[in-house]
Amino acid sequence: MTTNAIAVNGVDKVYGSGANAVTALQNIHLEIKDQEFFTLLGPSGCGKTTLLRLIAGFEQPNQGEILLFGEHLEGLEPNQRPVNTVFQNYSLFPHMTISENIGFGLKMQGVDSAQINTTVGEMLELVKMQEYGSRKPNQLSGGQQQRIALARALAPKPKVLLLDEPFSALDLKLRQAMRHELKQLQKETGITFVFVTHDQEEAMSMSDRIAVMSQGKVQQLDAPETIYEMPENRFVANFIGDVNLIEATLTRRHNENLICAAGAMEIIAKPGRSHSTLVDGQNIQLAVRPEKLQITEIGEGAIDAIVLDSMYIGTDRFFTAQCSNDLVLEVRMQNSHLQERPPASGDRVGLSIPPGSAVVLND
Amino acid sequence: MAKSMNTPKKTRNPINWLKAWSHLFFLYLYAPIAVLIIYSFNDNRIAQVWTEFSTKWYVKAFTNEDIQRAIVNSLKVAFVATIVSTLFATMAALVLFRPKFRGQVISNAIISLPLLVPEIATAVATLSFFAAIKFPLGLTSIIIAHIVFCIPFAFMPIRARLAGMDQTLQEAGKDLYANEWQVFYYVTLPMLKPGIIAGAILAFIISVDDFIISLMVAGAGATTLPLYIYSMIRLGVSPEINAVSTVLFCISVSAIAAYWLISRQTEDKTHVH
Amino acid sequence: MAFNLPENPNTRRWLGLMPAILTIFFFMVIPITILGVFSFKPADPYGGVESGFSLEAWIQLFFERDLDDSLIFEPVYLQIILRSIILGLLATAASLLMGFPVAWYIVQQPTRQRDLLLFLVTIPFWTNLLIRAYAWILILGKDGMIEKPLYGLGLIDESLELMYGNLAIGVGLIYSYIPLMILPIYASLEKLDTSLIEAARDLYANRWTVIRRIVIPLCLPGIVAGCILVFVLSLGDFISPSVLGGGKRMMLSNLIQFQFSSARNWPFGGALTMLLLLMVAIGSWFYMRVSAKDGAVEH
Repeated sequence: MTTNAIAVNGVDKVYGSGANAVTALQNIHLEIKDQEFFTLLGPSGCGKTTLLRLIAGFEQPNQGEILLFGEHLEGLEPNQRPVNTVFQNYSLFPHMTISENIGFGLKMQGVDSAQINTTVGEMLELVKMQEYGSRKPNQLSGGQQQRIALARALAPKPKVLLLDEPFSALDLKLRQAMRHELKQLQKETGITFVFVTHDQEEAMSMSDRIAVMSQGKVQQLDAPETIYEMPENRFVANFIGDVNLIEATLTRRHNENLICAAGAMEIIAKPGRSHSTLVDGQNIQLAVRPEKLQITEIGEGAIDAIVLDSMYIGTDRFFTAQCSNDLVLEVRMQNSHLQERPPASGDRVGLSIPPGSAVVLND
Repeated sequence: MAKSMNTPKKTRNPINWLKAWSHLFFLYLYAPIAVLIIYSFNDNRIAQVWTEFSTKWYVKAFTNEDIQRAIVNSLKVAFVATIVSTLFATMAALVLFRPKFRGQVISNAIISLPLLVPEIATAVATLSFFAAIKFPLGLTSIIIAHIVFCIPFAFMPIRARLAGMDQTLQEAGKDLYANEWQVFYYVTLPMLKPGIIAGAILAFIISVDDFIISLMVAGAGATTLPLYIYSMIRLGVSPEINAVSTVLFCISVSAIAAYWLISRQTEDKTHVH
Repeated sequence: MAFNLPENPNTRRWLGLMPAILTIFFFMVIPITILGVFSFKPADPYGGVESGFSLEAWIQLFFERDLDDSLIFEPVYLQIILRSIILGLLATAASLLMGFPVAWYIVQQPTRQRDLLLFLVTIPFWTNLLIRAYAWILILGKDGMIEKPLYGLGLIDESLELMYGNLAIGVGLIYSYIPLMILPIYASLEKLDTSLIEAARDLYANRWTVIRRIVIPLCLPGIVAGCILVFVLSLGDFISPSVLGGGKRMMLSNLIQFQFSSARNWPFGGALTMLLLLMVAIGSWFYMRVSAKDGAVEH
């Protein structure tokens, strides 16, 4: 017995044919749990929107199948699928009032008008827009239209709600406020949300799990913390937050940890997913977040370095430090933890990499 | 949970109906013209009975002195009308695309008036006018009438081109020490050229194809090609009409194809930003 | 530079505008005014008008003079006007039904193909109306492309008489002006945000409902514009009735042309033209209202 809201099994999607063929999705496998806030995260063109459109039924996969609560969706038109979409530009019908927009799905399902009115009222209340029912979409601000788009998609009580970069047209402040509201709404309704975004902060702050996508493939699927702390490969490490990539050689293992050498420096790294296949002496790629590194007095760190640049960014300070000819590291330290006179460019400092702060990537 | 309750079924695709209908439509649009062209190459005197391929009706038509004269008349009228109307339209467009001023709306309305007035009304009104001022009917009267209704056709692409033009370019020209004439000659005019050519082509097509207005204001001996074709049609179907019509059709199509290519090219260029 | 542009922007404006405006004013606005004046003058039996004032032309629209000079209601001209209106309306309706699906199809094609198809729609519009009407004689006429195969199959043994009637005129009108139905509809369909269609599909509307509730309401300005264009042009059409109607079934334009040629009744022709212009003015006014409204919706 499965409780997966959505199961995607081996889905391929190719646009065009012959020499012009573009592969949008390649052998996608993923499962989205019921009542989960699931995010597809990736740069534009990674295939995340395509996957959403396949679930909604606007496009058909070339290969593979998609199941909704165990049922095949193949051959079902978008209007036959119990999933609803919140569109990127809201796509509110300009010739209908807000209430008509929200009630449209129910009307199409043949719900009687008394019931429609009740549900529309509930939905307006849910998104705190009770007074706006009789207005037209172009009389609302972007944020208000956004809420109506949400209400409209939720009104037919879909089994899964699909959200295609719904905040991309909003300004930053509003976008941040909407994150809380959306998360709240998901908890209240208990509906599975599939959220598409290219904004990592948005993904991190709302999601139960994130699938990071690139070039038509899922690069990593995990909880937000895991994705940040334990990126599996270079793409994920680079795409989510800032990272230092260090070429190193595996020297030996110590308990769970791997002892690596990068030039003169010894780094105690956490293994990634593929550590069991690693052998001693193998060249590996390490990722360390800038905020994990520490600047110390010269000689007190694992290695000495010269500060090339020191940049004040409010809460923190960014340093660029050269350890050797081919190793330059970025360090981020909170200003509240720094001494009164932070290291300036040209200063010689020590750098330390706390054990377990570096993680082995599998590419 | 039951696996696959909805058996996947191939959904009927209504796009295909649409496609079939649209293809039928294009057939409807082009079949009569195709028939006309095919039968212009028919050897048989009876236009609707196909015997064998022949170009003799073209030879016959173009050795006919009346047809030659009609073609020359049509071209004379079209050339003069095109040049004058394009010149006038360009001047007007250069004024009218600039920021709003008093009289702009009414000027635009007057320029587009020939598009709104039905041709028959223009025709009889022009005839009455020439009669009232006792102006003799002939090629000159046709040319004057053609200039009038060619102006809005020449005007439209020119103004569209001006509207799509980056105004800062002219400011940049001035900034780089060009005086007004130099800005016009080196900046505005070259950029406007595709619009002017497109406008001239439209004016030319409209003039060459005009029938009703020419019919009313043509004097004796001022027969243009469409007038000649009309007089032949009144005598019934003949392969000679097919041949002459095919030629006139080809003139229009090549002109409009040239127009299309020019406006598409410029569109591509202006869409860069 | 030998000479400079006048400094005053107003002077410049009028210098630029004058040639075009004056040409149209002198050779169109004044002629129409003269024609209006003519309609209130007595007819010169040799063409043109005589001096004086007369309402005869306007009376002639509705009445005939009996031998004793009393007026008898005579609807023959009204019938021609009515036929023009009805044929115009029918041609408009048929063009809409035929043209809308085509515009809808074109809009759904990839950009390159779209441009080509649109071009194909416009080509006939830029070719000679006379030739296009004539081509239909080859199809509809006796021994034409329709009758010949039917004779061959033995389905008919005498001519169907497709030519020289309302049917042939209607076919000619549709054929002449359907591009002007498709183009504005296409323009408004193209502006339609396709995600609205997807949104409706997503909200359980089937394809037909999408067209009825989303596409048609949002493209109404284009539909109305196309209808007005086709109607106004059909109303003033001269070629279809004279070539395909054989001159027997007159429309307003033929009646007008007849007054200025064989009938030599210029005042009456003037009155008829004023009537036509009035109808066109009403149509244009609607058209402008619709396009103004369309523009307002956009922002």
